[in-house]
Amino acid sequence: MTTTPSPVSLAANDIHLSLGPNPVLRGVDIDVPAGTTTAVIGPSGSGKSTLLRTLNRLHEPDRGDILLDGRSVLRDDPNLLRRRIGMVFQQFNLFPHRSVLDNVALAPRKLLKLPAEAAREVALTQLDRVGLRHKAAARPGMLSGGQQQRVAIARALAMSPQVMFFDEATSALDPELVKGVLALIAELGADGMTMVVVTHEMGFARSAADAVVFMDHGRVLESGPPERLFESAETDRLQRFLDQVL
Amino acid sequence: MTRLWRILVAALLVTLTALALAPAAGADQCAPPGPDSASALPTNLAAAAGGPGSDRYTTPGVVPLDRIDRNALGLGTPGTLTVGTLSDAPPSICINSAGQFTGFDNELLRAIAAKLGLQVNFVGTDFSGLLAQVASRRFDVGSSSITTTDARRRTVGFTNGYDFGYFSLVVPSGSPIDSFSKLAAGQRIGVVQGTVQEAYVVDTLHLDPVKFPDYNTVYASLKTRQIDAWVAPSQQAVGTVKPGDATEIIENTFSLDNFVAYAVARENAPLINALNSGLDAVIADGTWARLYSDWVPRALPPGWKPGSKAVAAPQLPDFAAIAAARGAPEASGATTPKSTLAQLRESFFTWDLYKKAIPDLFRTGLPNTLILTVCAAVIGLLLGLALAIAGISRSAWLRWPARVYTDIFRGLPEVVIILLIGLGFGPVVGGLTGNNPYPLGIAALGLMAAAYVGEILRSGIQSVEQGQLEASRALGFSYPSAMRLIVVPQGIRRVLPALMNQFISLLKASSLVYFLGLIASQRELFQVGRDLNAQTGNLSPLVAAGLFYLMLTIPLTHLVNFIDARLRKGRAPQDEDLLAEAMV
Repeated sequence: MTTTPSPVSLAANDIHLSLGPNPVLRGVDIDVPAGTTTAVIGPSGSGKSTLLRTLNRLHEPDRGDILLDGRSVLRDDPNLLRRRIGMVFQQFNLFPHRSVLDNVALAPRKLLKLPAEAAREVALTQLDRVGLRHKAAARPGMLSGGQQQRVAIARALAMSPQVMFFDEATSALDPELVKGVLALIAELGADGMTMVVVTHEMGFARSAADAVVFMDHGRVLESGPPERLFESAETDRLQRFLDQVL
Repeated sequence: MTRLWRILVAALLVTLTALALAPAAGADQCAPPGPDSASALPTNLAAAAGGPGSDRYTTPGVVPLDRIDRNALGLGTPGTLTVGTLSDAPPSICINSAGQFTGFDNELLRAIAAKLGLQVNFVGTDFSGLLAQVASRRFDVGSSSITTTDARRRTVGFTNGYDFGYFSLVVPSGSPIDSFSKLAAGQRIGVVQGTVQEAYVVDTLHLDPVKFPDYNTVYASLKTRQIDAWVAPSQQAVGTVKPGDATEIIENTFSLDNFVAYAVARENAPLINALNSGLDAVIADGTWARLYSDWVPRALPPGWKPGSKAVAAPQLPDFAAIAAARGAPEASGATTPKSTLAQLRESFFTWDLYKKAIPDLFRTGLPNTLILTVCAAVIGLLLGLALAIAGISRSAWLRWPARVYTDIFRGLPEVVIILLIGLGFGPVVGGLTGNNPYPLGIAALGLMAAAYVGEILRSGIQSVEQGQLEASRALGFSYPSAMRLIVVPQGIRRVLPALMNQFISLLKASSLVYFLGLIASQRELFQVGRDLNAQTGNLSPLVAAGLFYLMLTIPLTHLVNFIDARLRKGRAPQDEDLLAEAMV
């Protein structure tokens, strides 16, 4: 049913990153066992999104190590690393000048060097999976936000990633569209994909994540199973954060 | 929309039909007027500026023709004289209705070349660049009724004289200025820049002239009274001033020390000697006298003859007697001046000249303009794209050169770039281009366009959301692939209207390559119109050329608007139907 390859684990040790003079990540550790979903929560500016972009080396960390399937990836070609990690963005970032089908088929065709017909098949399979096969010929601009985000998910899945990142994937959606996209993400996790989900949807973090990480000011303040963090926060900071968002 | 267009087109047709009824064009100024048109020595001849003693340059004798080594003349193309000439000074130098360079100076040069066993290849150029191009050996010879002066001798060498120059003072009829001595500060005195007349007004009269690029423009300005007087070479004055123009040649002056000669690169003594030998030969066998009588028949000033000091003076008919037999000097008094409106109509809307101009504009001008523009646009796009990519690069080694290039080529006037590339860079790559300025013109236009296109593309590329690059890279695309496949195509789409505007600018700027000198078949729209304008002294051919430009630019402008609207609103196939309904 799915094209997910055997899941792998993801871990990061003591990640530091400064953008210009500002330290954004100040020693982050994270450990995502193979086939599990980790939700990252925290206030705006706490470094959640930057963490995702550092884990797939869109930003190169100043210090620390990143391990995929137990092996450091810092010496790998970053372009090859990113093929193994799918990413979905808050603003979808679909390519507006190409059809929905081309959006999904482009990377398999150009990067995996699939013949046009094979890439088309892969794309249609993934569009089917997110329920949008019938929109293959449309331009992204003609779709609703929820549909666009599903296409973006299909686009990432078409590269058969071993890990998926979601960066506030539902924050830009109209409220009535949020549920469907969250359900799709949860379904992926249930199928055994290793996932890191940055989210403001506490309900989702609680019900669909295997672990929750709370970040503030570039550090992980607390992490553990969702029940523990949501029921008995150890730090004031997390308690105050939960009080504000729940 | 279409209905509006139809109305416009109909209005245009009606206007053109009305113009067809306008009076016929004047005679071709670029044909030999014949000895019967001879003029005597001007009676109102002011004192000569110098005496015969100042003639330091005419050679005492010449090398015999049979001792000239045809292979040692330092020609750019062996066996062929490449001649830079102009088209705006009939009957001395002009382009005839068949599109060939001719006139007294050029026909005489053909005869001299025949004596030497050489072919002649005429190339049109602009006077401001002529001597520089002779000095740089782009042309072997410059033939343009060039009066020799000490200042010019510092740039180029000259042959012996084959003609002489009066200066004429041309003023509107009834002007209080009736002699050179009446010229004073505060008057607008027109001259063509870089000519002896300019030097005369500045150095001898100590006045500040109004400078024009060519004789047609200065005369047109005199006719419309935008200037008070024109100090002209008298050949041009006689060829240009026509009865009914309400202008007259009021006085002439003569300078014996500045004869008219061909320009040759200063160090190319073998060619100067050969041309001097050929000149003496055509004087000795009567060819000079025949051509002179046909083209520019007028009495020789006292104390002057063409060629070296050794050659016998040519036998000429008694021009003074012919002129006297023809009766009153000029019929100008008899013709009533035309009204201003009639003058304007004749100047701009002479239908005969439209009919004459349009086939040439279509066959020669249009293809050349399109070739120049499209080739330059391709260069501009490719180089501009490279500049845009370099301009947003993270490496200062790419960013800085792109910045410097853009600042220089965007900051210089188009004419300067064309002259710098064509005249400065031309000699360096002369071997590659065969001294053909056409590719250089394309290169100059392309380099210029690249600076603008680069900035347009850069702004387009930078307007694409950062997320597009991020999403591409997150999929595993390298930076160059992400730019090529995702970011740049979107950026270009956004600036298509601006790019199209740049293309229109380029189309118009392509007329500037005439500064580099083109052979007749390479002339673009503006040059075709300008040549015919020079040949007839009428502005209609330029208006016709203008119409051709509009024919190209107006549809392009509307295409831009269409693309712009479509990019803004997205595709909307119903739009046209709705408009059609609204207009019914």
